Amino acid sequence: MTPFVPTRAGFQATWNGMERSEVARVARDCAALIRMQTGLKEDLPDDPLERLEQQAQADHPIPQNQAVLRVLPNASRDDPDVSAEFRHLTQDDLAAAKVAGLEHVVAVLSNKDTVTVERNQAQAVASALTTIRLIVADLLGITSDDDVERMNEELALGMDVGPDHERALDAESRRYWVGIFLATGYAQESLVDGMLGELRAAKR
Amino acid sequence: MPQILLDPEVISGTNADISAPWITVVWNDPVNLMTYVSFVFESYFGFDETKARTLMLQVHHEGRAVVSSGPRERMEVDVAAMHGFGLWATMERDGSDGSGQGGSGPGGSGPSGFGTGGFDSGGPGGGSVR
Repeated sequence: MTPFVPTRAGFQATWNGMERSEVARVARDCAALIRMQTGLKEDLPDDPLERLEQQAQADHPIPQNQAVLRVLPNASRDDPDVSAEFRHLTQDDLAAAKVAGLEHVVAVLSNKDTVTVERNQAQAVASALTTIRLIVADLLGITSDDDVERMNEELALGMDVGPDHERALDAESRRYWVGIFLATGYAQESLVDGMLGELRAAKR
Repeated sequence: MPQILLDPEVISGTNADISAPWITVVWNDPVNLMTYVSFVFESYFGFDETKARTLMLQVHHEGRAVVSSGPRERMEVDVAAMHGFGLWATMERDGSDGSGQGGSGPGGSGPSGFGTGGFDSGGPGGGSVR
């Protein structure tokens, strides 16, 4: 996996076949999880009024899955009414946008070694990478900076990634998820560096 | 991480309109990269590089930062935008919990700390999927 670099076509990186297929698989699984947890319909009506009406009638339960709750968090720390109203107004659109972003990642990774993220899709892809990382972090039990630091130290010291008995992750699965977490972070960092550079240049 | 002098205006929280009834708060988390948080602050709010960085570091070091203030409906839009980016944001009535510095996060039991990404030591190739 190479870092993303700005090119005429967009932001481009080279990923090998396994990197592409595994990240795409995780992206699809994340999309399915978000759909299931939010009860998102496969096809929302195109007409904004119909969509609003459907949204107004639907229930918007708090996601039961901790990872999805982090992706779609409560809007208020201490006022359930504020959180409920916020979910009512925004959850369908937010969930649909996240699913669409994840599906775009799958599409971007579906062919060739060169991964091309077009400029008008870069933000959607960057935020989809965050969605993946939030869900994978939950799986790995990463809840603080220290957890990430510890993981980095393990790897920097060349230590093998061991099992996590508390989370019923054997060494192989933990290694897999750590790999996904790091790869998506690595990709996101270079992609966002490029986006930020262009944003700042455009402001000057 | 390099330290910079924090903008005193931001530290005292007066960057938010004090007459505004609601505020949007962005909380620390271990997943979002500092670059990404800066990008969100600069692109969505239109903050300049210095202000975005100051707020990003405030979130990182103090656990939270107020990023906007205004009527509740406006804050719903901002919070939804932050959630769209994957940042952890909440809204509250201004002054509803005092200064709120160094909070432990929504509900007090969530993640804390921006991720440094885990590839600082890796370099190209260091993040390969196994």
